[in-house]
Amino acid sequence: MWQLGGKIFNSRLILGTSRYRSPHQLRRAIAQSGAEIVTVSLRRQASGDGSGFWGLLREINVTILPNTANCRSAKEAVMTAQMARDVFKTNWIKLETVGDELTLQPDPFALVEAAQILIKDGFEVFPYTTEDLVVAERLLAAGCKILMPWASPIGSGQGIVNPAALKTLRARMPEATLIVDAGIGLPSHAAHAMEMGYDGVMLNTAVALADDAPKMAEAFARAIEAGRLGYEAGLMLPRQFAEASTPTLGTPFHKESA
Amino acid sequence: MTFSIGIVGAGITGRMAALMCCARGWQVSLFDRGDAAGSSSCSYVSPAMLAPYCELDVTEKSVSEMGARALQRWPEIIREFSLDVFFQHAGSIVVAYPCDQAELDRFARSVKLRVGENVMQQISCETLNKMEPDLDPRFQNGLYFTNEGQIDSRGALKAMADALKARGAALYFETDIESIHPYEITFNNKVIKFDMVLDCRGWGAAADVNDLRAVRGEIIRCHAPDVKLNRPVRLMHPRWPIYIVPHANDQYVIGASSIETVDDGAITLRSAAEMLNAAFAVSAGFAEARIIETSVGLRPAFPDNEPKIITENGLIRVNGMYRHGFLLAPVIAEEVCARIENMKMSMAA
Repeated sequence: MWQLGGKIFNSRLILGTSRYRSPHQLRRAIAQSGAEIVTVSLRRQASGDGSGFWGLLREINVTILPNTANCRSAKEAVMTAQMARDVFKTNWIKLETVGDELTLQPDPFALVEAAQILIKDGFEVFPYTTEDLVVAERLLAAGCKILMPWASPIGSGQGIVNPAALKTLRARMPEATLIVDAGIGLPSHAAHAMEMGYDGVMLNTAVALADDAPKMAEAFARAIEAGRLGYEAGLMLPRQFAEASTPTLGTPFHKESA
Repeated sequence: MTFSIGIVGAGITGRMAALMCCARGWQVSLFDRGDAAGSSSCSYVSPAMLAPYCELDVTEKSVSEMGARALQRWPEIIREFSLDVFFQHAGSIVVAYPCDQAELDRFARSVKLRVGENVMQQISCETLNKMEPDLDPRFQNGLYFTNEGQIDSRGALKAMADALKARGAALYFETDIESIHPYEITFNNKVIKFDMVLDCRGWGAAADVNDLRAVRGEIIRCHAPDVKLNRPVRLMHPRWPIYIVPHANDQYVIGASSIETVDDGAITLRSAAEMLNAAFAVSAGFAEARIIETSVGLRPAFPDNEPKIITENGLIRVNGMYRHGFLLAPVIAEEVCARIENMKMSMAA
């Protein structure tokens, strides 16, 4: 059990909702992984009543984390967030500001600016950011309690390309809720993030485009659980030299000399 | 007495079902709020690729198998009903930019895993160049799906209306239907009785069909005399997957977006920019193309994106054809007729 944005959850996996072969596949992935939170992009669907799809999500009783995907300016992101609040009746917002169209790398300036405005407006802001420490600090200073640093660019599946920086974030921000978002391709990537002490993992493409999306969702759920358990149990630290785990005392002489 | 059937909705599904009912000697009445050309149906917007395998990227194996059977039926149907329509069975090509090679590899793996690799050929840059010389030279390889085809959607809708008329079907275009019930259709405050009613209204039936949703699709039709593509080409892209379908007279249909909304307003600038940009990158010849039309359609879909035939006494509803109306219509219409035959037999018994 863990707490996120004032709510209690069992699962530490947050799923995206795009690119599944069908809403039915998405529902099965959610069910099979036990994910309790999904993120939904408002922007593309906002041109009118998208209730067909959103109705399907509401039916499965999952917490919806709307996002501001594809927004470029702070102003645009703030407007989208306010729209999402009306549509989904939630003050949660996954704040995304695109700084570079090719990598979809977040624009840290627009991000901090929008976060400041939205926090004042009563939002629980989940900013999608890079692994940059100073940007993370500014977001906390703006009042964010949750940060979503990337592992690598969205949809790239490259895994954690800068583990040292993500470790630094975790070490320097013990009070913040840190969720790795984007770039996770393999279950082992997710386990790695959890072993580093991250509170959760958010991903979409690796599950949505898997040949068997529900099974892949379950694989991630288990990897995340394993990584978390390992972190809580106290991970073994690597050592300089190989060490025999049984004492040499009592080993037959002929083997010792061999 | 002749068995009478009233069909509401004259998109591809309604027209195909009407033809097959005519072929069985039943008295067919076909109703639609739109015109004989079909311009108010989402079939009219469809580029009508008959691509059971390429569609595996967005659909299930069951739809693919049904589509493969339907593709075999199309030429027979064209012959049987003397439809004067452009149809070709020349396969389709799938490409990706070198930086998106992983998208192509993922798709190939997924197809192989789900229906086997016999349906596609990995083709080299040279082969690609021979088959489609106008594709951008940056494409280093591709996939060739041999057993796929295409049909001219508007030509087919028109030819089918003509064939229905020739076979004595009663066609009620530009007719607003007030309600549909088992054995009866109400319009202009008149109730007309039938032995069977068939509801093929697609998204128009949303109020009467549970779990139906609309998936908006946008297309751009252009005139591009500088481009020569011999068969449909799909671009795998992590964000802007598009297809380009060649039509007669140097026309191309570029599509299609898939947006979860019931909004059927004009194409958005974002969609247009993304599709045109991708098309330009597929073949530089599109730079000088003239945009002659943009269209929007609402495809009816169930949560699993698979079609459904819902049967009760005196009323059959067909819906959820999603983006596979032309692909699946022959098989779905045959299934509908088979169900009607069964119901007739049980009624007789």
